[in-house]
Amino acid sequence: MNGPLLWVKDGARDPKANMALDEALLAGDGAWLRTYRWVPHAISLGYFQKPEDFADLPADLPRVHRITGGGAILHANEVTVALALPESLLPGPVADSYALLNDAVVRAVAEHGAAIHRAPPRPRSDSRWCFAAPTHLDLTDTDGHKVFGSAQRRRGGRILWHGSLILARHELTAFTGHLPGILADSLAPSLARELAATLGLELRRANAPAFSRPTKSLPLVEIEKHLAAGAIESAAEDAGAVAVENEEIVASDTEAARPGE
Amino acid sequence: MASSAPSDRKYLASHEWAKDQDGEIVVGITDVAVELLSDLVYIDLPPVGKKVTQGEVFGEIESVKAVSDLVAPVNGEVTASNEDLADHLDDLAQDPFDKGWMIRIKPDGEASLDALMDAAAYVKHAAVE
Repeated sequence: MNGPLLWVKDGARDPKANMALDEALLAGDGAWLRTYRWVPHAISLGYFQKPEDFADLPADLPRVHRITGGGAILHANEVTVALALPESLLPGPVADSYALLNDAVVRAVAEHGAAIHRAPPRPRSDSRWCFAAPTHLDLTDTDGHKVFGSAQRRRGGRILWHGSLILARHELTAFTGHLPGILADSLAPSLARELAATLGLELRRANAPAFSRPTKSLPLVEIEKHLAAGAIESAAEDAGAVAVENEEIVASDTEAARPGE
Repeated sequence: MASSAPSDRKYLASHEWAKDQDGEIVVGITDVAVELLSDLVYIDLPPVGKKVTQGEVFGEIESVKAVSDLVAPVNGEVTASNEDLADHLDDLAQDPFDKGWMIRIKPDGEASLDALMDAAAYVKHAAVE
């Protein structure tokens, strides 16, 4: 019998801490879901991408490597999900697992009155950005812009699935889709419910687990420090580092409409 | 998932194959691994001289949507690495059991592949993937 899906409804954390926590979930046991945000906003590079290929971007925007593959993502106004679980819960070809999980994301977003869709098949893009060109394993908004991108890491019979759902565009990645008016704090429970239902697992809230080993992203002592510090719980509490979520949506939309500035 | 695993080598549950060739072990991944991953985009293999450990990661492969570890079947030292593969991932996709070989390992001492699956056992294992 399958165990529960343990859901860590996390807040906003430092980019390195976010990656280290997810890496630790991959190295652990059982099925875990973490929903979270990023403070400061940051760029995550796919596992094989090189930092020098992003030297043209603002230096004060932190870079971090994901353990998952794919293109770079500018994490600003989004809900990030990390699902770590045994491969046996997602058998079959990698592409099939994406279709299954993507459908759960579509249903979660629909609960908030927005429609997103699977993108049509198209040749693979060589862009350095994950969100520049959707494939059939991605989700787009009603305008056809990629609004949800995901990637996997498979290690030791376990899968880590990273997904980013863009709520508001960032000026540096104005090609993304967006979901104006939906807040991260309200979307996260919908995502958790739909993913648990898709996997046939009982959803249970949990705190981030205790970790017993260092990760590639951070040594154990750093992970413990971040866990002890806790996360910024609600989007509204991000103020100072991040604008209040709905205000930022307005600001980002305005900037996206003025790409030349 | 159906595999046409050759009977002249042994297999890991994680879909690597290992073939004893003149006392050295040639390693690659199976047709089922290729099918599971689909659309390979990048591979990272160890250089000649690198020590590898049985059951531990020796390299990584990325498909369009997943990065996966490559697991060593024996302890030993890499004596050859298929450096052409990175630029010719089609070879791996189309001929994983021959042109798609990845590394050769000189085993530490008397390495045995006896504990690994034979082709028949692997085909059965792969069928439930």
